[in-house]
Amino acid sequence: MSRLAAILRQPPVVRAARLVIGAVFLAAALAKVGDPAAFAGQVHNYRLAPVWSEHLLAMTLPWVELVAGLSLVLGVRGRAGAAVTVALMALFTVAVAQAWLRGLDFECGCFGTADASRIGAKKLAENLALLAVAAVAAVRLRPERSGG
Amino acid sequence: MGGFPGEGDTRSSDTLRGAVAIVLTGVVLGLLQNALAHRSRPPSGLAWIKKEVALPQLEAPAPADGGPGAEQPPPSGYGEMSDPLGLREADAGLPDIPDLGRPIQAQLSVVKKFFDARAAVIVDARPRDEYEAGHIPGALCLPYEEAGFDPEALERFDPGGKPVIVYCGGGACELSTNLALRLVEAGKKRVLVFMGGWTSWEAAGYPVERGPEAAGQS
Repeated sequence: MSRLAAILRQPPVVRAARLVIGAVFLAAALAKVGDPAAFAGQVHNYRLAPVWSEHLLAMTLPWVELVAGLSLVLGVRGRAGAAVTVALMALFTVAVAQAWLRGLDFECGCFGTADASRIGAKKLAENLALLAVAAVAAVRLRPERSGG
Repeated sequence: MGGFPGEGDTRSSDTLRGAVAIVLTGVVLGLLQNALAHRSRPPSGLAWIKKEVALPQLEAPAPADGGPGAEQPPPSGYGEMSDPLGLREADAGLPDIPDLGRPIQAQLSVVKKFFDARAAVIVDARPRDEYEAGHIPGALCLPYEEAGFDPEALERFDPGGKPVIVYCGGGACELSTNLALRLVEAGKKRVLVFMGGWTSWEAAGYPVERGPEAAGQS
């Protein structure tokens, strides 16, 4: 395990993870950002946030994803972007898990209306995998030169 | 791309600050987008604080002849919407709709009864292209995105004393509820919202009509 951990801490691996999770977040954000009303409906499906906050969530969440995705893909404050994706992926995973356990059946809305995949074990596994990628992306890259 | 070679991350406290900055930037952009949408013509943004619209529910009638087994053939001509013969024939068993001054929720079974008896004006609140892809036979096309912001269109709409049943896609779709609220504001009486909407109508295997609204229908 420690060898796996060592590999996952390699700077090229961390950078690749940042690109991957950044691209996923960008795609997810762009699919949702143009239609907040549709996304609001999907937020409502989760029955997780209080109803009064659903619109506020629906209008801001895609933009947070967008900015985090951009920071990762462009490599500007990449670790901060990765930290945001870790937090969001943890939140999304909990949201999907609770919906699944409560027997709710609806489209996840993860990629807006472009993606018709539904809540279930597969979606949960997908979320856990992305959470792992986000965690690797959040590993601190040490400067190779001092004072650089 | 993923940072220049040799360039490392800053300290953890900076990372935390950066993460907070990313979240705040996203939140500000999202709020800005909605503010701009509110100012656009026609206004389209979301309400800042979502109000829970709890509509009163119409009592479902006793399931005498309800259910998919009682399915009837689709009406052949849509002029029959106002056919008094058809109305008289199936009028029995229709629930009374009180005038509560606000929209009332109705379920599939009730909507089907009114449809069979042609005792209500059915209104499709979805966008026109979705209407044309398939709708309840005889339904009027009154997209919320257009008619909901057009007081004249709401004024012109005359159900002729019949109750109005508004539907949209069903599920999380709120176009029907929104349009129903506007119709009541415009003074229409006895407005029902068909909660299951198009999804449940289609799933029940009930008659379906495709194509644009028939001339003279509205």
